[in-house]
Amino acid sequence: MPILERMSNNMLKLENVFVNYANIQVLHGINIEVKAGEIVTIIGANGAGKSTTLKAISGLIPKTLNSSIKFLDEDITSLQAEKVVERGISLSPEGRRIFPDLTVTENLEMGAYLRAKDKEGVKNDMKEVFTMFPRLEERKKQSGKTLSGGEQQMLAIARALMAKPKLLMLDEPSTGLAPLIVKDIFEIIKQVNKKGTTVLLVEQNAKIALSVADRGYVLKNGNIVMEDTGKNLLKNELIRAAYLGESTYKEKKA
Amino acid sequence: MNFFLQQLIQGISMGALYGLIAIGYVLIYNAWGVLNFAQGDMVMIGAFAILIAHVYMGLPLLIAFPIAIIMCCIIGFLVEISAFRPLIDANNTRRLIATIGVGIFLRNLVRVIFGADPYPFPSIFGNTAVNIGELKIIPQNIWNTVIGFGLVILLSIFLKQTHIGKSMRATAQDREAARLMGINVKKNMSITFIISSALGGFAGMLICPVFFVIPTLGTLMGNKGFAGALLGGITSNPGSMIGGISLGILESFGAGYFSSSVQAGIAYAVLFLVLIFLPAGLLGKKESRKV
Ligand SMILES: Nc1ncnc2c1ncn2[C@@H]1O[C@H](COP(=O)(O)OP(=O)(O)OP(=O)(O)O)[C@@H](O)[C@H]1O
Ligand SMILES: [Mg+2]
Repeated sequence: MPILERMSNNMLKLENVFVNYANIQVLHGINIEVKAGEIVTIIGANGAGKSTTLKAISGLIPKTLNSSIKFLDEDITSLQAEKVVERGISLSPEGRRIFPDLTVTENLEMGAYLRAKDKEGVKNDMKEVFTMFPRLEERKKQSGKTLSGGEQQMLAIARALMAKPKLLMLDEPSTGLAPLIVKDIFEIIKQVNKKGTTVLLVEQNAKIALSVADRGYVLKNGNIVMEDTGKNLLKNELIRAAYLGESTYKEKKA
Repeated sequence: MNFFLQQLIQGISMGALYGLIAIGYVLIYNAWGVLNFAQGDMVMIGAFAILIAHVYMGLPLLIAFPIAIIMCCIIGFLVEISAFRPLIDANNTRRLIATIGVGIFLRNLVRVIFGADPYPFPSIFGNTAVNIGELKIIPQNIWNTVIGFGLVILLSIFLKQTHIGKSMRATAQDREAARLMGINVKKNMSITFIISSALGGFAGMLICPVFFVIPTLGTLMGNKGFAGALLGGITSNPGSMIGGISLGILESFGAGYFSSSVQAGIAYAVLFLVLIFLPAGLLGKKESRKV
């Protein structure tokens, strides 16, 4: 992967990131690193601050104190969301957030909003996205709100890909999807990653997330409490008990 | 039969202007999530703008129109940055009150400058009626209809086909998601506001020869446009045009078959009836998607 080698090894670096909502602090100085080419996941219970972390990176919410977020060695801590996309970070947000009254094609065009001049490229990428998600192609003229939950999730991911991001951030891509479709979606995430896109993934489904991830962080009440390779975390007893819904009893039986 | 057709044509032509005003309410409601009670006053601003450009400055209409439209755009933009943008995250009541306030301000500003007396405005399209069979159609009626529909069709092509138009719809549907796409949400919301102001202003310019130009013109026309928008469902662009036209026709029949005092009450009757019996309007969404 020559392209990746030329890039800074540290693609994304969060140092000491604090986030407050009104008076409540929800992120207490977290440190996260994502290296070029990796799939990194953040797991944690409801309300741990996973979505907040992704929103903070994408520029949707302000950071406080001495927070620092660097992307490709450039400081992006105080960049607004629309500028962060320009740098090459795309977020497929929690709850899909597709445009309900735009068609599937229009939703994808909006994903490529900043690439309007590259008509040829956008057209090709749209084709590629349609081969990844054939269901979307079948429904390309339908408005977003008429899609099923799973199809909307595919559209949200596809839309984020249309920006041709260097770093793709996915917030709970498996929510509300049938197990088979979850498997498909994670296959696609792996494919996208193999083609050179770095991935930062937030998941409720810790098992599948850790199994595709190179590395994982465990977020608890706004603090990173553990950090390891996906494999090790998957084997870790504490993680298994707390996030994989397995009791030690079951563990022994298996 | 002829009388019926005559009234129908009259109604459609007036309704086309109501539709233009109504669509302004809808565009702003969708993008900003607030009813703009200063929309009617943009109609008045349009009327005064063409009065200044054509009557005072003596410019020919072909030049006066574009200048008046530019004036409307500028004033619309000023209204946006002074009364809308600062309150974008405020609660709905405060935002609503701000739109009412800015309307009162515009009305009185114009009254201070021009006085409260009505100004007559010469006919724009001439007074020679066109005869079609036994029907006599005055040019104003034809042109209002053509321009009203023409502008709405242009707007819809702009919103459906162009890159910026699509991004404006995306912005109205989910502002945060739009930012994640790299869409300049502030710019798009300004453009939406300016277009709404210009459409309202345009209606005001076309209506000048029919009504006198007075500072309170906006209150009257704003109510009609609002009734049209509500009848159309407040979230739908085509709906607002249909609502405006329906209102125009109802009024014209009311005046023709009953009396002009009936006509004056129709917009209010429509407002009440729609609010009670058809809250989603003709083409509106059943549930509100605004948070
Ligand atoms: N807009 C907001 N205003 C105030 N508090 C908020 C806001 N958004 C999130 N919070 C709080 O911040 C904390 C972290 O929320 P966040 O959405 O990041 O959690 P999460 O880890 O993504 O949870 P989940 O798994 O349920 O999606 C929660 O306690 C939540 O209540
Ligand atoms: Mg979340």
